[in-house]
Amino acid sequence: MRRFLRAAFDKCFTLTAGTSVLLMAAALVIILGPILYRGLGAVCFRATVEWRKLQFYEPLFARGDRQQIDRQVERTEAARAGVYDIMDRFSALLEAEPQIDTVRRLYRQFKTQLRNRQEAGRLTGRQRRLLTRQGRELRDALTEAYEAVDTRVADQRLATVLASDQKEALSDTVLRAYFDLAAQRRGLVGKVSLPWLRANYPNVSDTSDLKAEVERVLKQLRLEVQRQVADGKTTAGEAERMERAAGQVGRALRAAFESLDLDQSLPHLAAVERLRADNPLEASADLKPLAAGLYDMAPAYRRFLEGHDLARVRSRYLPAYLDVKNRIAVMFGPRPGARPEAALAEFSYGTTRWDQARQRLDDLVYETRWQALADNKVRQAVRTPRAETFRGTELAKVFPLLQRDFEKMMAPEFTIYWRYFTDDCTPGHLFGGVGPEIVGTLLLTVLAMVLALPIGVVTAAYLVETAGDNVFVRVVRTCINTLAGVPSIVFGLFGLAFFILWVPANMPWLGMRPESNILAGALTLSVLVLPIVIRASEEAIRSVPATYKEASLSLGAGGLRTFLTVTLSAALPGILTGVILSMSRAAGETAPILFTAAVAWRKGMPESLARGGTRALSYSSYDMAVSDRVAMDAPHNQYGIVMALIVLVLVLNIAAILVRSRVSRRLRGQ
Amino acid sequence: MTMVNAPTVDAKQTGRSQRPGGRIKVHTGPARAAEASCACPLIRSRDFCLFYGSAVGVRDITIDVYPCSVTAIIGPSGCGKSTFLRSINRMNDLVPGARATGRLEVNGQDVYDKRVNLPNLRQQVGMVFQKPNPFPKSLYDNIAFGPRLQGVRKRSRLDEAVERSLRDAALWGEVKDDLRKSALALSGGQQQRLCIARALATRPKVLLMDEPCSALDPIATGRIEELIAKLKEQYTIVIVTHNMQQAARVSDRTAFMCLGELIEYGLTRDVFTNPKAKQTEDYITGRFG
Repeated sequence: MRRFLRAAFDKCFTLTAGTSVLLMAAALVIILGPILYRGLGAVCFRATVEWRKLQFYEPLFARGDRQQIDRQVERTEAARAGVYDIMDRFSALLEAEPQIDTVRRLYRQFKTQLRNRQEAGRLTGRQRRLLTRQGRELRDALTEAYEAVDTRVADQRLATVLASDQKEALSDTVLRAYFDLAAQRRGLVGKVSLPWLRANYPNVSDTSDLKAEVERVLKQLRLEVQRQVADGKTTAGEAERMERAAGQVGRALRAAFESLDLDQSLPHLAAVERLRADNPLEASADLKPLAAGLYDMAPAYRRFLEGHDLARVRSRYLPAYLDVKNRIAVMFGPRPGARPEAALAEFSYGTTRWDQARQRLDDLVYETRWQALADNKVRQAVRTPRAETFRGTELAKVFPLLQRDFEKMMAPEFTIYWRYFTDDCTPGHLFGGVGPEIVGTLLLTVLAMVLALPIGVVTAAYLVETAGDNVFVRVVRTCINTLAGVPSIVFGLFGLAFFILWVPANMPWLGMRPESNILAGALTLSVLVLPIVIRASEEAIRSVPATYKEASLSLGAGGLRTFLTVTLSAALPGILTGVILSMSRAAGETAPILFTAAVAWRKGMPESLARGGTRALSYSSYDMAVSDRVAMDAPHNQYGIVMALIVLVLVLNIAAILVRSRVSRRLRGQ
Repeated sequence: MTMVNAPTVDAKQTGRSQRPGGRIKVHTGPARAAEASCACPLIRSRDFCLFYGSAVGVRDITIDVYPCSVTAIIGPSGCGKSTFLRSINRMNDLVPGARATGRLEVNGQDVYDKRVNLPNLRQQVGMVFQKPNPFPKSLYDNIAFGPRLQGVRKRSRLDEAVERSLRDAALWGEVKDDLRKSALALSGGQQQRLCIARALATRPKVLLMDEPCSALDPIATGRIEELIAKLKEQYTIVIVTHNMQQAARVSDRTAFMCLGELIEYGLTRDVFTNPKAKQTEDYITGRFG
């Protein structure tokens, strides 16, 4: 029984040990896997034409094949032209500002032109004053036409401009452009104000005809009702009710048609809708189509009024339209020929990554509104197509166009952005790579090791070989062990207080300055890793077989010679283990360099080790993690920099492990 | 009182009764002639004591080691043989609290004198340890270690020294093809011969051997013993061994120590066939030890 229990226990133990190793490996994969995978997305991704433009035109990168880029830009611009066309057509009536600016600019150019001509002697002062006055009148009329919220007013002003008898006189000046603009605008205005009328009542030119139309339909209706009574299909009472209902509808419609102002017509149109609800005219099959024709006038007239009132049109569509325009600008970048808002990379180019572009397209085509469910107060996010907002207008066509041709507009290609690890980045870490961070971290780490290793090994040698077992040595040992457990932020503050503040003040001959510099950071890091190096070296030196030392001494070597040639080379694998552990620690620590060496942003690398802070992977990871801009616009960069840190530490470790294994093998005699 | 070419001495001839320990063959040979002529000993100790703190290591050792001979020190475990051996080249200095009194001279000079040059001494008195301990370096570097310490830099001279040492240690034939090989790749016996070669590279006068064959198999042991017989022509060898038969085979003189004291010292055949002290006899016959 005992034997069985023991065997069972052994098996259990092996199983537990194996399971825990597997769990650790799984934890590592679970923690690192997603980070590495997402970080890989910063290096391998589908890049749009905007990215290639960024790489070529941005002076930071300036690489690429010009011909290929130009060809692609041509193709994408051709694909996008359709979108811009639709937007222009829709916005012409919404946005008066650009047009008014154009009118004013033309007028200023006109005045300059007249002045030049007068100076050249081709005009007299009186002619010039006359022409100026005429130009001013035209300008005012055109401006009013653009600003008008009533299309009839706009139409009137435009007609004035077009009928002006100054066309001839101004035909050789810049102001001839006015007439073209006026004609263009008239066309647009005309479209908005009369589409419904022209479509349904070709003979109608204003609302008085609408009233006549109502009369005609009513008369037809009455005739029909009487015929039905005569045929015996309806009773007299029924007929009377029907006639009364029809009369009410007719009166309401006529009242609505009285005014072209939506606010005044609205009550009557609402009344028509109510009458439709309990509708005695529905009863008969013959009457139904006639009645429908009557009832349908109300919503149609309402749409007409809404389109007729530019102020309402603007207030209804303008915010939504501006939102759409903004989103398209974010996706495509500034329009060809237009300057960006600000001379920053993020405004000069569109969306550079295909996955991001697709997400933005989705956000453009669908809008998320918070709607309250039936009776609940709780609101739910509901995705509605944005085209609903623009239903019936020109802009509704842009959404299917975008969805269909988006690939042609962005030209995505799979790229492997190797230079991610060497490129500098644009301010804010939105575009570009982590090159300076990698260099900074490498400098700090290597310098810290170079400083810590000799001191650590010598200290370990002293503790093992020379030191006796007195109080002093024990105190030193305790201090070293305590130092190993001190939080790294304390080291950072110490570095700040000592290397940045105290040393430059009290030892100016050293040449260090009271500002961030790599040397201070490296010194702080070396103090941080010193205990690790000392411990590992001590273990390693202690574990060198005493026989080596004996042999060396018996051959006549002194103590130092023995240590350097025999003990040290035999202890090398253990010391290298200490190097591996401390390199990983030094590369990844943020707190020690926070006050001493790290800066969030600087251009390139500092000029020397003792002047100027550097960017570092660990600190920039933190900086990017808390930055909202980066989280919104470039989340791949957040993962990318963490991946770069992990990969760097991995590479350093592997290199050191390879060196150690070679040394180990040589020591074992293979 | 030399007995040159004397035949194997038999228990019967000496008149003693048959001993249960059996016969012990005592080696005689032409080399014995040398000892008679060198009357001045190379290593002399007079009342030499070594203390580890307050504990006694060895006490009142008075012994003379003659040049170009093999002196064996035998005795039970813990009797101080290794301690005394290591005192000769002052390896006991490594032990904290070691303290020596009395006189121990090598080549006329007191080893424990304050003014003595320790590296020099150790180069004159080489040592081979119980477990072969070549450095984890190449064969060449192992053997050249000593000469390099002595300041030899020229490649040709180092090569010469290495070859000479390896020939002296009877290892040259086996390793001459690849001196860059790591010393740890050799077999146990070869490693011990390498250690001997390494010790010989500094041209010592004395070679101390602390149980050199205890970690080796019989064939390797035999080869080392042959080597010792050969080396004795040039070097003075002091060998500590717990193997009495080995002592009888290789040595010219034998010292028997017990519990830190020197019980008996004399020519090997005398000690083994005609021990003066009872303890020696008991040990040799195997009554204790």
